[in-house]
Amino acid sequence: MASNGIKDRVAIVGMGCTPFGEHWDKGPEDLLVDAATEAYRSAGIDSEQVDAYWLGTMASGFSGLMLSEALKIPYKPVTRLENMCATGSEAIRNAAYAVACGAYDLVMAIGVEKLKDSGYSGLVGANPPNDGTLSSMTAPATFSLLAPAYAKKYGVEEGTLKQVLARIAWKNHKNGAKNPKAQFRKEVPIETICKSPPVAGMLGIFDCSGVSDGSAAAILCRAEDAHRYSKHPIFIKALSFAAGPAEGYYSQDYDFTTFPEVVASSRDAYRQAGVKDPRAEISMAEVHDCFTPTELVLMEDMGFSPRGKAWKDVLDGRFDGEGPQPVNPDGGLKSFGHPIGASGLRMMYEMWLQLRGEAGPRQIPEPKLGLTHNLGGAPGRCVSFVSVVGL
Amino acid sequence: MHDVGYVVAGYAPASTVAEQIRSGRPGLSYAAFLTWRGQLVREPPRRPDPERPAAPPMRRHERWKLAFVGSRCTKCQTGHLPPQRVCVKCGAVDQMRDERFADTSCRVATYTLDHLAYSLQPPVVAAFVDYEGGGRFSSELTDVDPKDVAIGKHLEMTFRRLYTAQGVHNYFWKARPGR
Repeated sequence: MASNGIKDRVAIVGMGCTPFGEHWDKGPEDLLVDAATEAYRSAGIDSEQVDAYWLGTMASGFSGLMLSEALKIPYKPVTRLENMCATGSEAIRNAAYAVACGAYDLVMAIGVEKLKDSGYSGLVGANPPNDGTLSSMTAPATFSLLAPAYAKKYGVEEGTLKQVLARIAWKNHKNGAKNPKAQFRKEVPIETICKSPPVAGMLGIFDCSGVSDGSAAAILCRAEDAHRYSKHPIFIKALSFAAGPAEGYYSQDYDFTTFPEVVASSRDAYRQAGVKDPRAEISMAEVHDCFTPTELVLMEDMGFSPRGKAWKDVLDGRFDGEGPQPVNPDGGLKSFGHPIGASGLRMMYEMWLQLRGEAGPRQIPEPKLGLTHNLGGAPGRCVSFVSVVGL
Repeated sequence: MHDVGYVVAGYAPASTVAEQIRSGRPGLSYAAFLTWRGQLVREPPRRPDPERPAAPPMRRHERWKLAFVGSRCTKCQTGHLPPQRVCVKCGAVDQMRDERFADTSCRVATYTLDHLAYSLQPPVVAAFVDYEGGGRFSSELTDVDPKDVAIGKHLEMTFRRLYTAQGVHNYFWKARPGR
């Protein structure tokens, strides 16, 4: 069984990211043009120089045509891909392998979503024709199951856990307030978070990530070519992906306090990158905080906190913007917003800014290794992506 | 006329009409009753209407959908709901036998109150149900006060009309408090 990794063989030499939010006046093609243009400019290239494209979108369009028509790309390969909420990262992963193997020299990974075009409240999903027996649990409901399970397993009183979850939301809003591209740019007091209307289980409105529109893009090439495009490229150390067998939906052994898919993908990524102690070696991370208890559990699944102790680390401020191991310094899904096809690329965008010293008021002092984590599906049945990047 | 034959003489229902009446939930408001019957139209949530189930998959999965027949791996005895070809535990392919879970004793493994899901009677009580002898399924709980739901609560399966969408009735199973 081999997952050999492509450590230090691929560089990101340009990135673009639109503001995320309710873009009533922009369609998916507009957001794609905006993100792509910014990425070309960032790499100092003309569009003709890009050899191939990977387009990620969950439900805002089909086929590579969505991109090739919008950008008027002349007869180049464009792959449309989807892996639920991990779609944006999947675009990066596939584009990276394409340059690493030598098939192409300069490629773009781009993601887009127009969630607000549904006209509905919250996230909606359409299923293929089916027998009417599929689970109708909403996303907040599925992730809400993590909270009481965690509280029970680790002996955390539910009132305390509610404070922990609120602290996570508070942290991410505080970070987002410093981010001109985030959907929500105001600090929110913990009390407001705790009192917000219930959505599912222990989760209120402020425990749920923003439903939003947006696009983000990256230009990639082999490491040895990076100097042609950028004085300050960043390098991919690891790319991992784990699709689970949905064991949690069949087996009584699954206890809703972990994502085995995240454990598997993070272990593979650390091995590829040569990371032995993630708590010590990962300077900063963008993780999939679709809901507050998700971020809590991820800290343990990724080895940032010991099992059963992440809640203490959260309350201690370990993962705060000024803490020893900042998590979601750009505001996360929570306050930056979660346009599905773009999120994984937006996470990479923050790593790009941070490693190049361009994060302004959010700048982490001299980061060494960054990590992005992107998850699709639900507890018990999901896919997980982890990347490690650095200089 | 249909000839039911002599077999019917030995048939006994799972629970009598008297038992069903006795275990009913009193205190249903008239407004709720009218809403459920579609005679009182309320402002809908800003959520999509339920989707119409498709005939070919319904026909293909008839035993699962209407009789709650899952599968059990004959190699390692792991129960599967819905029925599967590949065993989640041992990976054996096509070594399953049919097993009807409709009358299997079950309990709440975990649950949540979903205020966002479409329902004529929100919040939806969404649970993971564990079956005696193995097997787990994500199911809606019905005929229950959300305040009375707890992990470990004894349940039984019940056959219901989930909703009607574009003229097609969608029948399936929910879990209710065990009697």
